[in-house]
Amino acid sequence: MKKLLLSALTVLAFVAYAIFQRETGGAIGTPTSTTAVGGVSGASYQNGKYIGDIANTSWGDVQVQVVIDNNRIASVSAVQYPQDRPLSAKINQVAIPMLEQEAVHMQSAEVELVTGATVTAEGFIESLKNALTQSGG
Amino acid sequence: MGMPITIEVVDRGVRPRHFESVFRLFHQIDERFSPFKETSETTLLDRGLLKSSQISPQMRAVMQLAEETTQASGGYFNVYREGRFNPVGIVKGWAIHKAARLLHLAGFADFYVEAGGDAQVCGRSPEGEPWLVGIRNPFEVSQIIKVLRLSDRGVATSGTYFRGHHIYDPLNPAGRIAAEPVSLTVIAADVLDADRFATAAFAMGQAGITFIEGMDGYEGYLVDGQRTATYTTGFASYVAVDGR
Repeated sequence: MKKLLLSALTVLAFVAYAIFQRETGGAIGTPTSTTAVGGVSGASYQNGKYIGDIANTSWGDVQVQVVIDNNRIASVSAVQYPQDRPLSAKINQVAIPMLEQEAVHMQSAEVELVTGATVTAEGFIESLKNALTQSGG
Repeated sequence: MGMPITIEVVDRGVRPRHFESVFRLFHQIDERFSPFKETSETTLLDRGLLKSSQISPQMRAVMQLAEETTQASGGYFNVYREGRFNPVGIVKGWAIHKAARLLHLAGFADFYVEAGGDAQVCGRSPEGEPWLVGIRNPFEVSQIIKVLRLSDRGVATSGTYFRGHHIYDPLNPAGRIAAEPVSLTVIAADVLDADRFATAAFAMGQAGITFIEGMDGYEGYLVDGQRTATYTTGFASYVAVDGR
């Protein structure tokens, strides 16, 4: 659901961008201009197929294709969807629930072994250096 | 890597030579991988003194695994930092995994291998029950904050007892401790996987526990600087009830 919404928003943004490429013959859009996208109404679109630049979102790459027919937008479709990142793929498939929390408190039970972070000499030295740097040393 | 190693084998056929072979394995791995040893392969690689053809099969295996972990964690796990090569965040779990495999091959089923706070626990304890594993209190090292019941599982904890400037908020005159993670414990079928993903997820901050939640077969328990723990939805199945 989240991916769909994100993709939809990005698609909309890129529709406008792709349209304003104005390349004839369906050439792939080139990053030639950073002009703001605006004034969509009243614009005259040239017929053809336009593919927007690839946008890098934190969910993956998005690329949009727009077809202009009769000087109007005939169709908008996504050439690339964010699918390649493991985390985004997981979110696409599974709704991740809010995780439970608790206050940490001491247990008095006997245990056979213990897991815990150990402070390595390296970690200690790194942190000490950082502290000294902060102090202006 | 200068860390204490504990092995307990319940099976009756165990002999001193079995323990010796495990300690020899750890020693050999330390000689090859320790960044604190001048002649280790890690140090030579770090200083660019090795040709690609001179890299050992063991080092290749670890580097391959490290690369897979980097990919799987979106780059949050990385053995290359600030131009340095340091595989410590993966070698510990890998070494314990190999040690456990050595004991399995020798025919043992009920044992654990623990090194530097990570462990592979197999079969049953001397009580005939899953092993009781405590999670150390990151704020008070002599205390336990959670008791787990584990059998044929790997468990690893990533974190530190202090995170430099994140612990104290300099903008707050009362010195309130920031809610940054200080400890993340991960349970998986194998300690190699628990270790590398605990390392990766810890680097993600609070989002690390969500990352673990999203992985099938992994459970996690994250403790932050305000002594609040956040845990995955399957974690409770590993928690001992009434200390048993």
